[in-house]
Amino acid sequence: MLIELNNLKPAYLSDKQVSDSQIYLQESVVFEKEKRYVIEAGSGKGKSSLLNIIYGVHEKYEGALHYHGIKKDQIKKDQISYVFQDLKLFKELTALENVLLKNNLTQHKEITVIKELFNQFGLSKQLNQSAATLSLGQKQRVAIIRSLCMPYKLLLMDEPYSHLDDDNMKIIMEIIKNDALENSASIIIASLGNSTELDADQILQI
Amino acid sequence: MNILARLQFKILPLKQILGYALVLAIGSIIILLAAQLYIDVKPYFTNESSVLGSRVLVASKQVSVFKTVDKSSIYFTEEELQEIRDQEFVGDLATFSTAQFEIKGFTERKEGMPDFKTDLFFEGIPEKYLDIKTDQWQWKESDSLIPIIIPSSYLKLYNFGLAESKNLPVISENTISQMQFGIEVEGQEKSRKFKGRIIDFSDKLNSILVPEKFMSWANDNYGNDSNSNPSRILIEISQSDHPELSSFFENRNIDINKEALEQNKIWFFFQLIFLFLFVIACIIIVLACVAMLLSFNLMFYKNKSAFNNLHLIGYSNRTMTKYFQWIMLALTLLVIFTSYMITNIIRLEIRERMESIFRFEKSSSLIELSISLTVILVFITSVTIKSSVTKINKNIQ
Repeated sequence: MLIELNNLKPAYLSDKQVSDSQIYLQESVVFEKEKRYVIEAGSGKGKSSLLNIIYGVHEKYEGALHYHGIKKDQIKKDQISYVFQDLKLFKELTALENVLLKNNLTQHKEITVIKELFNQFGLSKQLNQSAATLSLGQKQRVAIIRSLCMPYKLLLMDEPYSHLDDDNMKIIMEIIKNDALENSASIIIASLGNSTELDADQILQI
Repeated sequence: MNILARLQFKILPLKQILGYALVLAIGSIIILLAAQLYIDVKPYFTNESSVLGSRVLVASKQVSVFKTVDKSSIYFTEEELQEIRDQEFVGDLATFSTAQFEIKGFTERKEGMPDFKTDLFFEGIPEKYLDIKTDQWQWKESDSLIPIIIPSSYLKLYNFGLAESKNLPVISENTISQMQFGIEVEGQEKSRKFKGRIIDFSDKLNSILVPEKFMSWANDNYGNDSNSNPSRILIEISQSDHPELSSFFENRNIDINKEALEQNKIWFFFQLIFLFLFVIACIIIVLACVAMLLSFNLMFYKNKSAFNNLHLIGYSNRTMTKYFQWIMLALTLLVIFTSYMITNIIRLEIRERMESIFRFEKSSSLIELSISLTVILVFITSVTIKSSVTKINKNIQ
């Protein structure tokens, strides 16, 4: 067991709004170690809120959240990696610098490995391009590379392929799955739907 | 430069930082200059060892037509001295010891034959009230030479008065200091001859002074013991701005040297000016700090999302603020050091111009103040920057 939710619900959602959810207000929802989960729901149902609650940055919720094997005070350091929905890239920096900004903190990957990832993600030409001028799809891929630049036990991804084409998505998901395996980590992906590439162990609806 | 520093440099409010440095420099120069001038000028007004310096008054009873025959009222009684001692503004009190024996001064052209002889008077005061630093101000019973200090005005009176009108040669201080003359003390039906030499000149004390030890010995051995009460006293003032100081002496018909009081007033105004400058400089520095910290706050809020994002990808508030704290530390050090150097240059310039008025000490002593100022500024800016970043990263989602 990695994470357990008990009767959890974001404070801003009413009981009625989450009545059909397989996660919210459930007596016990468990995310196991080294498993892959997809959380599907439409917009505004609270997908991002769930990931933020797990990441420890959303504290306005009811119910309980229990970490098992995750050190709460080191979540951002080496416990949970997160691909944010709004990506949180720095437009003042280049694509490579955005990734190095994280990697300098963790010293997790060699620069050559990072450049190889850029290559595999089809971004070799965008290495030194300003993040402000990248397309949404390119930004998403940079954000995913950045999320792999730390050790983690859980990888959270909030609609990570909303602007990716199918070919890119397949390649990227394969890399992510391998990276998670190397880290013996679980993956939780929040998605509007269509998440077959992840080959999820469980698909949960909110 | 690492990536985080480069990112932070791009959002740095450079114009505001330069403005801060400039205003801080102005404030620091004023504060250091005011402190330096205060340190330089203070000894001139408050030097305790100075004869009748700003804190010591010479007091005597007013001489009126009724006192010319009966002199008893020109002496201070023990009760009067005690009353003066009891005043709030009086720190210490000492008396002039007057000679109670006959003193003759004479010169000898031939051995044993007096050439010129005159009556003299001597007085003694405690050594701590002397403004003249000399190791010759010693006397013991076996010594035949008595060191003497006379007012410099006596020499001027001779050179520009008597010598001018009688066509006599003028004498320099140095020349007169080389000369020795005879002194004869007489009393209790005995006498003794000594040598006398003028070792220095006092600008402020209007008396012929000999070491107090000699006075005490001579009064014991030759004095007639007619009156042991003093007619002149030295009063060390502890509160020169006390409102009752002047009126106390006026009401008791006691004359005091007004010059010393005037110096007290000048020193009082000097202190007010220094205080005013100090306060103005402090206000300037505080305003510079407030403006700078507001600019930093504005920068943090303007770039709130960048700081939030850094926090979300794992950067601690401490790591994020370190760069800005280092910049403020380096800037403050540079500004205070520059201000310190400028202050020293200005002081040097002032010193050259005012050397004849004030005896400036050679070395300046503002290092402690500069360091304190730097430490305070760096502490305030560091703590405020840290708290600003912590505040904007609180409860982010």
